[in-house]
Amino acid sequence: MNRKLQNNLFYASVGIAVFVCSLILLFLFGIIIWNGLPALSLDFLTNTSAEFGASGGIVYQIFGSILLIIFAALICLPIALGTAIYKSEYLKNDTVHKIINTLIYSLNGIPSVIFGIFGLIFFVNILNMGISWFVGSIILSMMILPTVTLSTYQSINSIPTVYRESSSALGLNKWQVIVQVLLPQGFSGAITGLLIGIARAIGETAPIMFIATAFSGVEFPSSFLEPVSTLPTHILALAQQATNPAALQNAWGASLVLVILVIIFSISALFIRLRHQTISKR
Amino acid sequence: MAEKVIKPNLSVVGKNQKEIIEIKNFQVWINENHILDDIQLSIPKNEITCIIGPSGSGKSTLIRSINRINDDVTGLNTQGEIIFNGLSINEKDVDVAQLRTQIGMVFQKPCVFPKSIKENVLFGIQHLKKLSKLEKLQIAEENLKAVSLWKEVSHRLNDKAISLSIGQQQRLCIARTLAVKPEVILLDEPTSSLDPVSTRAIEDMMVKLKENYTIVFVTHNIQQAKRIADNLVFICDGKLIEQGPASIIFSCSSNPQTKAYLRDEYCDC
Ligand SMILES: Nc1ncnc2c1ncn2[C@@H]1O[C@H](COP(=O)(O)OP(=O)(O)O)[C@@H](O)[C@H]1O
Ligand SMILES: [Mg+2]
Repeated sequence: MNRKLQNNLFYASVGIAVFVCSLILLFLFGIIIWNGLPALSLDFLTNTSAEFGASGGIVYQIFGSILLIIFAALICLPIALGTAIYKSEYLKNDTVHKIINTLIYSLNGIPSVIFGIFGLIFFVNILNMGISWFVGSIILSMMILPTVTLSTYQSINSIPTVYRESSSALGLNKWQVIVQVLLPQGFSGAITGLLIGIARAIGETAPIMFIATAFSGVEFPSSFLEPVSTLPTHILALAQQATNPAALQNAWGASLVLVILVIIFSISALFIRLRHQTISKR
Repeated sequence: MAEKVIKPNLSVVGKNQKEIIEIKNFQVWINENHILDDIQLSIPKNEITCIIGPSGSGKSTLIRSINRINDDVTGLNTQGEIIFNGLSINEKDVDVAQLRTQIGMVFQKPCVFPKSIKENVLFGIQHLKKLSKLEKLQIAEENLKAVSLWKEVSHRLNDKAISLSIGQQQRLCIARTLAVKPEVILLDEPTSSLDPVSTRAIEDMMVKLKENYTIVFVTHNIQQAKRIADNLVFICDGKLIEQGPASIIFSCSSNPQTKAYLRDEYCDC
């Protein structure tokens, strides 16, 4: 086979791969929009659900999902920042680096249902905290911790050494170098990681369904220790009543809202990353 | 009689004042590599000391030991003493950040922070003391004038520093070092990435600055050393080959290695 033909074949096969990938994505989005759009209305977004979701709206579910991920982000960010700074600026020992990396990757590889079971056993059974949205936030923060930590670490660690040296040569101590030079430049990495993590966490059902959510009868929580309802668990509940066309319709509607939320987070992450790249290239 | 008593006193005081940095038996290893071997060096106050030598000879390692910016290099070990104003800087209880406010440093490639021109000048000093708005402006003006940058940037102090040319950025880096008011300024090949006009501007600036500062200037450019050096230090392969007044070394060095290097910019030590 001559090289030119080989080249063209390769080009064609990657082209087909891209085409198939886009097709699957378009097909999925198409179906969700096609089925979900008829359910969507202002009433659907602002009303509470009734008849186990078969009628009414999903305002509590939207609220519950956003509450869970906001607190997950708040819990995760300081831990991720601390770990990333320690790993990048203080830790010299290669073995400890490898151990921490292994832990982070292992945490990332744990199936999400295991997080749910862990939460159930540890927080609900042993600590006896009951079914609570806050426990859900803690569990979700553990799930997104690896993504946020690695993303923050990469952005801090990739800041050229000359910035560290130039600022410490001016008499800044290590702490000032970290706060004044490294964190401002590394922050976009943390936020990008956080948004990617959130985009994943908001769609998770398994880790929160045993510990943080109830399927009906929830309202706005008035304390940390009450259950909420969320979009993914609501969709699960509606899918179980699939014989009822009204419930199915609302399941599609809720799915569309969830997908839109995920897309918002993913695109913001992409946007922040691109913006930061153009700044650092200038 | 009176004269006899005063004279030796004066010479003792004079000698102490003259040398601001003393380097004694200084050795550096990085991992297993012996980078600097038994360096003995004294740096006189308010003069320009140029360190020359082929690339890889250890000039950067030496100058970066003087403000201990090398501390963060992994696998680096030192032996011997560097004495600054009577203080042995490698002692455990030395406040390194404080030391670096007295011994400033300018690097080979200018590195401005992603901030405005004015904020860059103030970057070091504002972490050391609280400044009023007026003081900030005064400090910015004073130090930008000292590096002859004021005329070029006075109307756009709030522009991003990155918008300056490389030569201007390097002068900005010098200005922000001056703003901290150090006694010694270390410069590690500060002109090697600059155009000839900026290079000359910085050389002229050095000659003016030595009135108020002690300057240690690393260069691999012999002509440059000829233009600005009061004292010359020649390092080759981690060893200090010769040091002394620049005029004497350039005109009549008796060391064959120095002679060869000054003539051919090459030495096989
Ligand atoms: N961080 C480092 N790790 C390992 N070797 C180094 C490091 N920095 C410098 N060296 C070695 O030390 C020697 C002297 O380097 P340097 O002081 O940069 O020389 P110069 O500034 O005269 O060109 C070189 O052989 C270089 O390879
Ligand atoms: Mg060098």
